[in-house]
Amino acid sequence: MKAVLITGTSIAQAQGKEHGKLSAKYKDSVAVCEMDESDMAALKIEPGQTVKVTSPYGSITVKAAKSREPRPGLVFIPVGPWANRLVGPETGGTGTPSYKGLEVEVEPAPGEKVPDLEELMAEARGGNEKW
Amino acid sequence: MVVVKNVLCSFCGCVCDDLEVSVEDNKITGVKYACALATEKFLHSQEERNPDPLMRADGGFRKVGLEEALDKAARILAEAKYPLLYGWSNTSCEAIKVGIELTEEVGGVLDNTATVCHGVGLEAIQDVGEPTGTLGKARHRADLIIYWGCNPSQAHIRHTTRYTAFTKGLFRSQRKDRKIVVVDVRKTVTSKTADLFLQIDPGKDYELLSALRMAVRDMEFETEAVAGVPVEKIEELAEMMVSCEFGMLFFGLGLTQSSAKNENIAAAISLVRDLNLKTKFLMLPMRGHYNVTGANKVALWQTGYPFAVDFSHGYPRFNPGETSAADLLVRGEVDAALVVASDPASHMPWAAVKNLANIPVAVVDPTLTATSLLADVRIPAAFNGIEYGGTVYRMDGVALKTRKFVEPPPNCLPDVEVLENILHKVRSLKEVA
Repeated sequence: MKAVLITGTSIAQAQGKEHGKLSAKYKDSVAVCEMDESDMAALKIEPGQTVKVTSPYGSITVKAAKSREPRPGLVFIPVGPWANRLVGPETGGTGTPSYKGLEVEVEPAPGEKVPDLEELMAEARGGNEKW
Repeated sequence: MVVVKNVLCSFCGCVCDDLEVSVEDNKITGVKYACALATEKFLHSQEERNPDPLMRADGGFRKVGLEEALDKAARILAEAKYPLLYGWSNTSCEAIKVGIELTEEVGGVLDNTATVCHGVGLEAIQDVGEPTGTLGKARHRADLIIYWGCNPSQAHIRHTTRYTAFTKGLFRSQRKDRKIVVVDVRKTVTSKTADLFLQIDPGKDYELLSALRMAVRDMEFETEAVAGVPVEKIEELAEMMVSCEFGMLFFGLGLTQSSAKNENIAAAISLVRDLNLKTKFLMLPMRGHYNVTGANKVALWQTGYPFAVDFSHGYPRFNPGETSAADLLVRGEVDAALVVASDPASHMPWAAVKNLANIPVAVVDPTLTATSLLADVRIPAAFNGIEYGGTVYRMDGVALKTRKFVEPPPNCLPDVEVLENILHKVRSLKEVA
């Protein structure tokens, strides 16, 4: 399913980060993709199931969640290392990447694991880390 | 138990100044009047905290002494040709001042987190000017409040109860004395309490701002909708704007991080300027971190530029896109980094994170972050506004002093002391060389 991705802060994200970036609470609050109920029905997925979100710059597996308010075609991932796998490098000479309004593809990803923060950072370093 | 009153909140740019914190045996046991976000910060500031200086070893980390960690950070900076000194929005102005001196000493780039948030607004201000005022003006005078691309119900939770819709001001004392308007790509808790909600198509803010400028000038539209908003609603908002006594536009990252970026803010400033021909209107950014405004102000008065300040030529230069942190990291141009009170590994695009992961990095932060996992050395620090006091700037540019009310864990110094230490060590290393 094609969708427009908005990233941003949320209460759960802000509380999760204050709880600790390495905490399960943080991961649970930001490694999620909030979607409209009708979009979830079209993809035949339930809240808590994994979805793969792909932008022109990368892809990431996160858990699906029902958005609080309806807006078909718009998906929301709270700011964080998971959302930023999808954000492009261009700043258009402003210094600020486009964190909002990204065109993405959302698909069901049954059985795929949502990576931990440690796994994402180990991947950035090229693997072989033990924390 | 001691109850500390009138505590300043070191969470978001609202910097609320009425918190009450209970302390027993140097332990924070309760927080009153704080929002859900600040409560989480205050109550968890002493928990799940690793107070150890750490150094990378064998694919993991080993505990080291503070002195050894400071030495390592100084060596990383002294040996680099073009280091990035990044963060600064969650620390005191005093620490930022030392950070600027350190950046100049090592010929690097100083950038603060505004570079990926409200920095484009600062670029627009340089082009168009800044029709701004304090939160006090909004509270006491504004009868029209517009929240554009921001959601205070999630990010600045007490903004509406302290400064806008639900506060008792001198000339506006109740909710019914003010009209609240929300412009956003989606319905939010904030939009539900608004008198008017304009749901805009993603990335079309510039179009809607331009249409509002037309409507404010009574120009005719040759279309039925702009940016997904029916013309009648645009004309309704324009009428509310020109007929109010005192309007205030608050804007968030919905405006700065979507497609037109600095041009969005320039258009918003132009709209506010137009409105001042007919009534009184001001605007303010909804700044995120409690001292990101201070990070910009200190950099501005010390170097002439609010962020992305490059000292590699021996004098300050500012050219966003070239000297800004995300661009420098994505292009792999910086060869080391000092990250202070910030987590770029969580908040930069992946292309930047990958390059950050492969250069020497020193991190100064009270907590373990994603960036600290990439670091070669991690220096623990104390929390500003909890374990030490310093100057911070509220989102409207009002300077306030935070206070200390508990002792930090051992090894955790205030950022300003950590940075003075590193600066001293860098100078010693350079003298030897």
